[in-house]
Amino acid sequence: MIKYSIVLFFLFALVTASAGQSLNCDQVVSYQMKVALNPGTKTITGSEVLNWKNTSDQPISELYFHAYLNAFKNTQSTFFKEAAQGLARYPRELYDRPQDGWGFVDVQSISASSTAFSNTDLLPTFRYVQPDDQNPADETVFTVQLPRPIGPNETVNINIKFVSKLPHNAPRTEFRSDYFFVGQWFPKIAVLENGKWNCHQFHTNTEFFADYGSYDVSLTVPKKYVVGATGVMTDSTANSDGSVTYRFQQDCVHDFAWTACPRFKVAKRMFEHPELPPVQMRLLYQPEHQKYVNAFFDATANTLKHYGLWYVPYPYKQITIVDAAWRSKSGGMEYPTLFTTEVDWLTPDGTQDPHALTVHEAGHQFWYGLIGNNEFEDAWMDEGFNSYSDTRCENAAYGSRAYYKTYLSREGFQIPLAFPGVRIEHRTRRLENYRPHAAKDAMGRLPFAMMDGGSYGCNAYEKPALMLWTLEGYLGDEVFGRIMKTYASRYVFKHPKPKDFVNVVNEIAGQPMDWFFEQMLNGTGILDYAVTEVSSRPFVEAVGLVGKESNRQYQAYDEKKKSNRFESDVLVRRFGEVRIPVEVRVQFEDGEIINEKWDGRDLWKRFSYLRSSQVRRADVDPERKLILDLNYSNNSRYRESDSGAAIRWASKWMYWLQHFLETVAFFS
Amino acid sequence: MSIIKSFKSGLALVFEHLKIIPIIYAVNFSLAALLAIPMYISLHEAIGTSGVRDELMQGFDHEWWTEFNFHAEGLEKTFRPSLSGGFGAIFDNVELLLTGKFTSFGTGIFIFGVTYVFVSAFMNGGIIGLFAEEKRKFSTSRFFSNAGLYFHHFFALALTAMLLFLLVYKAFSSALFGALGSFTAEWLSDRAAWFVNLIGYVVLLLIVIFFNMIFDYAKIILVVEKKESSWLCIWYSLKFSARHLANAGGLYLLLILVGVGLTLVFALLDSLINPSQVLVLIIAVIFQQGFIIAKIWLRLNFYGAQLSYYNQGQSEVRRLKKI
Repeated sequence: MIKYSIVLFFLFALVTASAGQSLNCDQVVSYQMKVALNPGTKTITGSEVLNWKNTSDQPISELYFHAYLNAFKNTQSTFFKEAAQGLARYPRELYDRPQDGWGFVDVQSISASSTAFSNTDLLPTFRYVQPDDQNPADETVFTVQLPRPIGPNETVNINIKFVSKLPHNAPRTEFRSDYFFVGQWFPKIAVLENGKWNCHQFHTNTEFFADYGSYDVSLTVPKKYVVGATGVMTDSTANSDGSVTYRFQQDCVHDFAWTACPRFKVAKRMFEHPELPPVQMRLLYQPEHQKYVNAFFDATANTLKHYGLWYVPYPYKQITIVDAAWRSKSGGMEYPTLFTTEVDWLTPDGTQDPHALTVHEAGHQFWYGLIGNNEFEDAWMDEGFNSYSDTRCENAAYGSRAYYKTYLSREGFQIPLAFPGVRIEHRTRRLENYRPHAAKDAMGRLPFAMMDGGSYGCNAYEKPALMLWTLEGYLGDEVFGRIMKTYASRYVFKHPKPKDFVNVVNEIAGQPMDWFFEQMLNGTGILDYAVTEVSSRPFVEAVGLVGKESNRQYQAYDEKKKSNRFESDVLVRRFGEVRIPVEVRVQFEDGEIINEKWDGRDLWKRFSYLRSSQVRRADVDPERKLILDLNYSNNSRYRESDSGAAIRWASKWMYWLQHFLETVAFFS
Repeated sequence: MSIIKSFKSGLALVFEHLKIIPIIYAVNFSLAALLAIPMYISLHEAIGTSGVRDELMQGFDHEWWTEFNFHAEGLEKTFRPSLSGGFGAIFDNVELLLTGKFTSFGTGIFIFGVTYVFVSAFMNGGIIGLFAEEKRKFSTSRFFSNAGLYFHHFFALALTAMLLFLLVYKAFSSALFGALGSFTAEWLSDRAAWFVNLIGYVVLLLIVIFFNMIFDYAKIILVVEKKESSWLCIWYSLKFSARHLANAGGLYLLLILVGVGLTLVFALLDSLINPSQVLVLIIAVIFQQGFIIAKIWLRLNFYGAQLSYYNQGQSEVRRLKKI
């Protein structure tokens, strides 16, 4: 029995050690939590022991905490008020919830101890603050005063007892029936940067920021529930009351999320690659999505492979994939070592669903997870980098995707129809959502201060992704590949700022690129170069007075003396405010091709030629390097127009209209 | 009274009056061309000199479309990837019969569609009038005189039908799917919810079909029985359809099946044609026009078969009454 116990002990130690493998990060926080889910009341009750280290060079006497769940307490929270202003990507149906549909987190007790003071009740000093908008009804940030300041490099232990009530069907964190997705759920300390608290309220259009640390969380749930969480499960204990306690541990992560639902099916697969560490992929999927199990794993494995080779290897032992329940609002979200995805059970082949969403959310493990920039302030450094990377990854793994449309669509029903002949290229697909919002806000603006949800989406996802594609085109694949790899490996677990990335670009590119980022981050200008004129005319020998003084002769115009050479002009214009050097390619009827370069600074540039052949066509940016160029059809121009394509598509359209007329004749 | 016999009689009726088809087709083509010309001009302006015309000759260029659509106004907004071939254009339209979202292509197309409903109502008088005559020979003048003769009745019927269908789409459909939505609100399985909603769509489809059948027989009764009140004809039609629900419904479904078959064959063939060259483009256009003609032919068959069925039914009733 003793021998058996020793073996068990070592096995447990091995698993525990693997959860906190040799990850090299500055662990500012350490959380130990013991919580229990009550499915009846939709609450999580528990305690949190937080060990926090003052990494600044100043003494700290006040601590800031996030209480994110209070965003769902009522409609007066900043989250809901912004949603009402139309900032939200979420509809107003958020309001329409029953009494038990609202959420909150109540801090029942909070005390602290350190080497400088003994355990002290901090509850009397507890107060909600609103650092962003002074909305007194917003309770998503609170502070407490310490009895004595914590000096640099000193630590403080904080004990919190709390109750979290999950909202019904709310964005990112919710319950629906017996499906629970638990994110942003516990009192979480803010980030101290340069001696000041970097702590924002929970806004509609915002994500998160926290210090790296270790999490050791014991989750008690009824036995029938299948659980997935950040980190690795290191222990499970059956309790006498029919519940089970699962213990999850993970080092070097900046958040902890979990999910529980009796319906989940579980599948596991190993990711293995000769150049990358192995990763256990654990999938929690909906029973009716069995046919997508391979797709979920395949997309995750492709992400681990490509991101791992391009940027940095995924360092954790496990990644948990959660196929969110139908109609939930937690599908498509990232948390450390765990992400949610979703799929419709009738998704047609070739459309790269659920691959696209899965790659995107798995990809967050690298930017959001490992690089860990401040998403409150620089959302584009996570969402944008990831949107660039996911298109690159999807392109490498699956190629272009088929367009598809859904018919008879309503909540819970749709008939999808794929159009395999209509291909969507990953590199350029984000232009569609960029165009309508291109000039609303600068990318460098605070995400929650953007004009609306469309502008937030554009500046967090589309524009930065297109910017990176453009930079790749401008600097070349090889140089840009080195830039991304250097940036990623240099800033793992380091919370970089925009300037850090710009510095890496300047360093690796070997040329200052600040002019590019200045336009991209601080400007709202668009990039649009166009060929607006392509013309040729017969060259006419000199007509008029030819020669000097006494030899001057008059030469009249003679149709017969027309030269067999042609003067050709190509006019290239800059319609947008963004200036970037461009290439121009001019093709002549005899097949000759001339490549030109233009610094792109003026509003226009005319190229003129005298050749034996007329100009046929001209292209600005012929190799499509500048993906951010908003209007691609004006990048090329033929000298002569042709109606073939217009006839082809007008006839298709007319056929549709004829069919439409015969369809409505049904009512005659 | 047999479904097949009525169907065959309907086919014969249409065969004897094939010359109606060019008239309806000419109207359809001319009206569609009215709008297709500005669409052609817009497309030509957008791609006539641009290099993207090469890609668009090879197939649909989605990226170009996103740009075109962003700048599009009015009719241009209705140009979309689903028109690229196969089932797309057809599904875009057929979907409307179950959603009632006829304004989804813009107000202009909606008004155009409503106008065509009344134009079709006018021509339906000509069709049914000719079909109902004992002298089975086509005459253009009789077609138009019948169309004119019955227009005020058919106009009233079309208007009534549109109002009724508005109720079906706005009130019944909303209530039905609202109830199904509440029923499945807390379900976690999208597949289960899908099948529940499918039942909803089947119910809606049956109701749409039933109402359309009522209005078809109302028109037939109005012409055959030479009734003066179109409203009363709806009532007579309702009674007739209720009395012969199985056969009348069966005949209607058979005609729908023929339509579905035609559509399947066309859409499959259409998806195989990629007109990247002028000759293939001409073949594709002819092929598409062939399908429109087939659709008109099917519309005539609906009236022909249902008229035959009604006549058979009524003669049987009269015979039984004599006995």
